[in-house]
Amino acid sequence: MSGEADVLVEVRNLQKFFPLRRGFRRAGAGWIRAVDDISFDIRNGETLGLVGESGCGKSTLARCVVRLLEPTSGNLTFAGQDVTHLGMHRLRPLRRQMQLVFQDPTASLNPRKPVGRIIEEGLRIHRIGSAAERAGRVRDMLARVGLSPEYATRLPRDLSGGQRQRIGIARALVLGPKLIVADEPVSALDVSVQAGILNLFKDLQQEFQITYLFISHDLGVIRQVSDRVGVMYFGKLVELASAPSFYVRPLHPYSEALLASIPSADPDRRRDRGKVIEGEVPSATKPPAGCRFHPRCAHAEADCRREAPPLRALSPGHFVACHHPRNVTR
Amino acid sequence: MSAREQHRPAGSSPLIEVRNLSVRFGPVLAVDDLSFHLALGEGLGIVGESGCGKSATARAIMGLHRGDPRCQVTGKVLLDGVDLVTRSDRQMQKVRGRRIAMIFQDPLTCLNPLQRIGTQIAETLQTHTGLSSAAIRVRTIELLQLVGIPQPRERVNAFPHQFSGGMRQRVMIALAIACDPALLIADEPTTALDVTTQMQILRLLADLRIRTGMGLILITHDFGVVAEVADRILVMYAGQCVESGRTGKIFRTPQHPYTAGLLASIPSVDMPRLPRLPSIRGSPPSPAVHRPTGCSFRPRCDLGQDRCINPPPLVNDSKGPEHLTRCWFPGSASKAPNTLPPDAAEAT
Repeated sequence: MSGEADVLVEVRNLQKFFPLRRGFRRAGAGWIRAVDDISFDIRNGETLGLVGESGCGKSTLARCVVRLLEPTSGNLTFAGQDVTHLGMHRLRPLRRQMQLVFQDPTASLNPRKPVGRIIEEGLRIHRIGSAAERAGRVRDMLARVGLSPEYATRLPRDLSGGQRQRIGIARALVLGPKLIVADEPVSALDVSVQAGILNLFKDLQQEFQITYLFISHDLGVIRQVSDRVGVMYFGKLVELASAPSFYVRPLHPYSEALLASIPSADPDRRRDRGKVIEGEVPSATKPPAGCRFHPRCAHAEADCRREAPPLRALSPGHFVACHHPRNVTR
Repeated sequence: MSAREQHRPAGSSPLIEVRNLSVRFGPVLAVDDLSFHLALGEGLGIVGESGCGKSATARAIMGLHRGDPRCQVTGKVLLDGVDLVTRSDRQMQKVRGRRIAMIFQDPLTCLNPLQRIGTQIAETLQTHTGLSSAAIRVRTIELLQLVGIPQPRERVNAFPHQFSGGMRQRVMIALAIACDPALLIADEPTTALDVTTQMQILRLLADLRIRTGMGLILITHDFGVVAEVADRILVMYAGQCVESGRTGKIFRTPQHPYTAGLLASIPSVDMPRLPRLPSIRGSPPSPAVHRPTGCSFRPRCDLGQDRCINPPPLVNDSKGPEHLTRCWFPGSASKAPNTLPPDAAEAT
C-alpha cells in the first residue's frame, strides 16, 4: 500500500529513559522508561493520532521525534535522512521542516512580544526574506489561520484562548514545515472554540499537505482528525491501526477500556459499563513484569504475567501488542 | 435510572432553592439572576464554558465569597427554607461541611500536604460531630472504604503525596461526605483526571448519591460528564441560565442555539464522523467586558434577528413544564445546526 517514498518519519526501536534520582546525593536510583522500544512510521500527508493517559510517554515520544529530546537508543529517519545523531548544526535546517504546536497557548507565547513578532521569529532565525517580505508572510499566515492583519501588533494578552492557539499554529506554519507535532493543542480550549481549531488543522493540512503527529487524551478529538491511531500505555505502543478499524474494532483490552470510559454526551448511547477498568496506571519506577497492562486487564492469563507481548499485525495495517487480543473474528 | 426515580420522594419540597441569585465582583456581573431548585437525592448538572459563572454560583451557595469585599451576592439561597445569604459567618460554618459540602477540581491543592489524610478527615468529624476519638477513627476508616480506597486501615496514615490523582479525589470525596451532607457540590471534580479514572470517580459519585440520598450539584464544562450523573441540566452562558430541563430532553431536543451548537461541536466517538465539525463562531464573552445588549449569545448566533436586541426571558416551552429556554426562537437551532463555511472561521 505504501512504498518507502510515502514515509516521512520512520521510528525504529526508539527508547528514552530518564534517570531516577533519589535522596541527598541524587545518585542514580534506576531509570524511568518513558518510551520503551517503539517503532512506527508516519506517512506523508497523514495525521497520526496518539492517545494515552497522563504519564504514558506520548509527549516524550513526540519530543524525541522532533529531536527536542535526545533518544536513549533507536533510530529516527526524517524524509529519508537518518537524524538520530545529527548535531545541532546540521539539525537546524531540518528544524524548519518539523514544527510544534503546544497545549497551553498562553504559556507558549512570549507575553511581551506582539504576535506579529512571534510569528516572524522563525523566519528571522532561519534568515528568510527581507523585513518587508517577512511582514507580508506574517500577514499571510494570520489570514490563513483566520485572523485579520491588525492582530500583528497586538500582544498575546489581548487575544482569547482560541485566538492564541491560532497564533501558535501560524508560528508553526510560517516556515512551511512538512511535519507538525501538535501536543494536546485543544485541551486548554473551551468546547465551542475547540471545534473551530480542529477544523483549522484539517483545512491547513489540505492546503499545505502537512503531516501531523497529533497527540491528545481525548478519543473523540483523535477520531475527528486522525487517519491512523496509535495507543500508548506506560511507555509502550500497544495498538496502531487505521482510524475506522480502531474505532470499530479495538483489539487491545486497554483500547477497549479507554473507549468504554468516555463519558457519553448522550445518555441513551451510553456504552457498556462493565468494561470500565479498575485501578490506575502503575508507578513509573516499578513497571510490572510481562505485559505492562496485565495488573489492570480483565482478560490477563498466565503468559501475560511472564512475557511482554510484541507489537504484531493481526490484519493488514492493524497492529496490537497483546497475547489475547479482543474483538477478533475467526 | 429507575433506581434513582424510585429514590426521589414524589412531590417533596426542594432541598435547596436558589432564587434570583446574582454575584457581582465590582463592576463585573458574574452571575445574573439565576434561579433553580434541587430535591434530596436529585442530581443537577450545571454546564458552561470558562467564565460563564458556574463556579461563582457554587461558591455563592457555599458562602465562600464572604471574605471578598468586592463581591456582592444578592438573591436567596434557601436550604430547607432558610436563607443562607443572610446568615452570619458563624451560622454558615455550621452549614458548610455538615449540610453542604464541596469538592474541587484539583484535589492536591485542597489537601494539607503535611497532614496524614486520616487526621484531615478526623478534623472534619471533630468539628461537626460529637464523636469520641475512637469512634472518629472507626468512621474515618469506614469513609475511606466507602469511597473505594483499598486497605483503608493502612492508608489512613498516608500523606496526600503518597496517593495518585484519582485516589486523592476519593479522599476529597470522603472528606466531603464525612458528616452526611444533604447536598454535595462538585466543581469540575474529574477535569484533572485521566479518562479511566474519571469514569471511576463519576461512578462513585452516582453510587454515593443513591446510597446516601444526598442531592448533587455537578459543575462541569463537559456534557459527557454531566450526562453520567445528572437528572437535570442547567446550561449557563455569560452568567445567565440559557436553558434547563431533563437530561434526556436537553440532549435529544436542545432548544437554545447555544446548547444545540455546543452539543454539535463535540467530536463524539459514537456518531458518524463529519468532514468538518459544526462550530460556534467567536468565543465566550469575558465576564469583565460589557455583555452585548439584548440576548448575550446574539453575536455568535446564526439565528440573530432584530428581535434579539431585546433580552429574551427564560420561559417554559412546548417541551414540558420543566424545560426552560432563554431564546426568542427556541428549537430553531436543533433543526439546522450552524455549520460555518470554511472561510468564515474568523477569530475564535
